[in-house]
Amino acid sequence: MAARAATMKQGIGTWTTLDIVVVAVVGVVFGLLNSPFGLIYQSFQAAFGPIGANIFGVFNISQCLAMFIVRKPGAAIVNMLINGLVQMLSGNPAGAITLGWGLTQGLGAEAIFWATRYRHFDWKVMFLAGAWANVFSNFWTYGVYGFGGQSVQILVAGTVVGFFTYGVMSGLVALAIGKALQTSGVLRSFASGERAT
Amino acid sequence: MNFATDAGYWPWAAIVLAITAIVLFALRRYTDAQEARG
Repeated sequence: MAARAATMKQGIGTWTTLDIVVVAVVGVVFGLLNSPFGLIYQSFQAAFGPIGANIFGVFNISQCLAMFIVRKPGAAIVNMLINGLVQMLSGNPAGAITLGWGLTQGLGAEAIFWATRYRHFDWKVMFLAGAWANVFSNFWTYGVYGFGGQSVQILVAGTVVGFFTYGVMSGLVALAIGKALQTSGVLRSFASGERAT
Repeated sequence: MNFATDAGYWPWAAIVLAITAIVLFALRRYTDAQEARG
């Protein structure tokens, strides 16, 4: 019975009310945090262009942590759409640009979790999810900030820098927070509470 | 923002999309192989 319940919790379309609430709350909390972080981000991107825009890699903790907890298809995208909306409404200096980041960062992380069938959450997967969320967000960043006029080499260099900064500062940080929550036992009601990783 | 005349944007986008496809394909195969092994 317990095994069946665990299987059902892994399936598509089996979101519980608790899952929805947690995905939304994580999105709101990190959306509020990301707004002041946006000031630091703007300083870097204004000073160093495409590479500077990829240095401060804390913006993808939200969807990585939400997916780590609930482990349901769509969690990363839904979480980041909420996150982007909250960033815009809470005074992120980028304004409505955050909506585009929400969509692209959600898609990037979701793609990695989809590729691992939403069943593997070790450090490699979490690193890639945080990193790829930023790789995808550059589609939006390079467009809206006009970085697309620069050379391919500069744009690729920015993407490579972001791959590592976001992998560590978002993916691995989300993993550390998720592991701490697992250890504390508060995730017992979620899919993440039933697995070691 | 003027994507049509942006020098580096489209080549960069093509590179990123190609690498993304390769990474996702490899990750999927790696995951299936891991799970098949138990």
